[in-house]
Amino acid sequence: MSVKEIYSELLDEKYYSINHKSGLKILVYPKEEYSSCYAIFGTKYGSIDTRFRLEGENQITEVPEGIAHFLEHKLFESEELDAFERYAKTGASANAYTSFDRTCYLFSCSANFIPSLEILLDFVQSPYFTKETVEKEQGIIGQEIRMYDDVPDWKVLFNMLKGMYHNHPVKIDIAGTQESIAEITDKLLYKCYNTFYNLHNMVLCIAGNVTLNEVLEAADRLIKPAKDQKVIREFADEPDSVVTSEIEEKMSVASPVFCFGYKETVEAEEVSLKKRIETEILLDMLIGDSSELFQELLSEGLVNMSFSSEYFTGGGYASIIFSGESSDPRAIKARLEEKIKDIRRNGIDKNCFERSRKLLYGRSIMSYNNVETISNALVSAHFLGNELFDELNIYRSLTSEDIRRRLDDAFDENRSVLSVILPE
Amino acid sequence: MNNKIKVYDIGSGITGNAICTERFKSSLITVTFAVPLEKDSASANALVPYLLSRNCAKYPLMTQLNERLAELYGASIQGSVEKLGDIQLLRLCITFLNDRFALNGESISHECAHLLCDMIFNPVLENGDFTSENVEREKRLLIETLDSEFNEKRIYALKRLEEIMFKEEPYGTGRVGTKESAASVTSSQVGLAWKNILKTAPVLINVVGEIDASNVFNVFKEQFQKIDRSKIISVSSNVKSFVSEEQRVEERMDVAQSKLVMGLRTCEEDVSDKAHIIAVMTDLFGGGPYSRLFMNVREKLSLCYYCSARFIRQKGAMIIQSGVETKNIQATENEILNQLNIVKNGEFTENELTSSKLALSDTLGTVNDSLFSIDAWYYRQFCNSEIISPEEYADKINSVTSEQIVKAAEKVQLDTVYVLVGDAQNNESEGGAE
Repeated sequence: MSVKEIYSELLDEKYYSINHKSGLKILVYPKEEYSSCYAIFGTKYGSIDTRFRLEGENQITEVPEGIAHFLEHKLFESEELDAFERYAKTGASANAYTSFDRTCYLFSCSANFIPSLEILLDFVQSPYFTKETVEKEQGIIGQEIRMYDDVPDWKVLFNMLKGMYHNHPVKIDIAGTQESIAEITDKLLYKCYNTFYNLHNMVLCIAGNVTLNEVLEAADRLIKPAKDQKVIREFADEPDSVVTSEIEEKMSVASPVFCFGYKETVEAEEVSLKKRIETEILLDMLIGDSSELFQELLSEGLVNMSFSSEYFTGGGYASIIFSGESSDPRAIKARLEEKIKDIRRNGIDKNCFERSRKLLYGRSIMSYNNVETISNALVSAHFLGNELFDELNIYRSLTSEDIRRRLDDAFDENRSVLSVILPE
Repeated sequence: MNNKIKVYDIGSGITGNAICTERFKSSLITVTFAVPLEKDSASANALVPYLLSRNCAKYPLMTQLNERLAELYGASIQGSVEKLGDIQLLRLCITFLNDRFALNGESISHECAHLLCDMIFNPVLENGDFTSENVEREKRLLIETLDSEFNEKRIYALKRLEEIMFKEEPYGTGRVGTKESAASVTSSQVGLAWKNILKTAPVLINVVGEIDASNVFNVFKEQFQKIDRSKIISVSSNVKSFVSEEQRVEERMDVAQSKLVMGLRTCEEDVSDKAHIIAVMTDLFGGGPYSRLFMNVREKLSLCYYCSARFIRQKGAMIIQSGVETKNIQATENEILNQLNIVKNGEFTENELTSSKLALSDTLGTVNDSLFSIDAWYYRQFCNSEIISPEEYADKINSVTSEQIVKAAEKVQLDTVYVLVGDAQNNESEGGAE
């Protein structure tokens, strides 16, 4: 086991990075002056992991869409008390989420930290699935899927992703479909569990009023050593092109909801942190709150405060996405593309770059106020192969030249998709 | 690790709360005005904080203001409107990085206090009124916010219940009024609303973080002294402590999942000294995953995807929200009432009570770890007669007994049921590119 201390001079704060003898990475960010603690036990396993094999295996396993999310629900159960019933005895507030590329189990508390941590470590390491419990869950998740069917923001995003991706599983709804979850069995759940819930594929991140020693003591006691195995994710080839450039659907909405994006090619498994930050700065300069373009669109009545932009990226997929509500989404897209041409022609305004950099740097420091944000950032940094504080350092070292280069390979008009939900 | 609060009297009807703590990287200042929530004035009042938050005489263009905020290391100003019982809260908030992180040694906090003050007292005016360009923009944004609330059916169904259940009470008015009332507001009405608010509304200024609060309060004091604040209005919420007649409204819509929202009254004459008891009772009934509604209606019977209860303290009301399949609406409603009866009959275990108390006091223990939750904790007590800390409230929660819960539950009565019936059960939509 090794323990490394990682210190930020800027924040005057530190965290510990532990390679636990079980194979698990543990990250502990103490905040002595806080009352609360936030812990996440996460695995690099999300809705996109539908085809995989273990290193050394030849056969690819293919599983139904939505199974990672299904597994998350089921893991809370055991033969005796389910996890929620156990947390009810400590007072912790517990939850879990599944995203495209990770599943995280978490709790927050201001008392009884160790008993809650014991529950977290125990139930995530103790799968219990039977035919009966799987059937029951199909009903509950079926209802969750129906609920999301009515959420325009969700629909408009997945419609866009379906228009953008031919094969990549990022286009499938995280919860799957009524049909796909009907194919899930207890055996398949065990297969996925044994593949992805291996400690070498997981991380435990804790921020708040906690000491390194108490976490290590609990980990030594409760974490079962795991065989060192590597998961190979098998994504089908994804063409550079998009499937279609426009998609519309009608729903019960008062005003049109839109989402449009520009597909990008991902060279490595993941887009680098530097490129992610460059993109954030570029987006803020282009159409952030203080940009000229956003203010113009606002005063012309084309956008409202729901407008947002995002660099949407994970294992094998990346796109720049704009979304919101507008009476004329096409006009926004046209204006944005006009502006991009303008910047390509005239170059990057240095003042504008400095402002965006300062703004995002300040916001980044502020994010260290919050133990939930820190824990989640620790998980993200680990799965990306970075240290947590790398982000702050990159903000300090970037130049406008970096942003110019980033602009060169962004916003390919031939690979854009516009998705709109219209009132019925 | 408690935060000490210091209360200042800043002027007529103006209170300052200083919560000084060095645990955060940033600080915040919020200014909250309280006015009575009324159908006729709700939209004009609501426009004020939004308008003030976008620009000011010194930075008349939003780009100029936002450039300034970016220079101040990503400081941000937000206008917001909330309803707290029958009271409409109009709020402005500025958050900013602490001075110690400034790259060039400048005082961010000092600049931000002055900026927020400027935003409130020196807006962009033309002949004493807000410009029609600014007002029209905010009207549009307000109307579009209401549109997006309609798009989100969970929020829409809750709003409908509130409109129906509280139609005779101010609380039945939406926090920003309606689309119609927003559309009909004129520039001079908003201008008048702004002047009235500055003159007559009770004001609360919260300062949280690593910042010299008395300096901040002085900045505001100087401005308020220029205004005649001799007539401060009083604001309060009324609790209706009986049910006149049970109401039921069903509406149909083309959605996949139906929404069942039930409004109940706790029927207490005076909620204030029993609020902590009703809070525990509501939590045990429909709060966390250990609650009656979650364990039974969702988990055991799989009747719905979500089902939870919330206590609206200022109105002495309890609201239950649930997302159900159309065929399960009646069964869900029956089971919710069945679970309520179980609480009324005291047929819950001591363990359930302990779980609720543990969870509620645990959450209270996290309040002091966030600037925003500290601010919220105190501004939501704005109109209470007595201010208590999260720790004091946790002590009260922990003192609640089963007998008190039963006594409180016995008085609870169903007032209104609202159902948004989904019609789209069998027609899968055909969107997408597949």
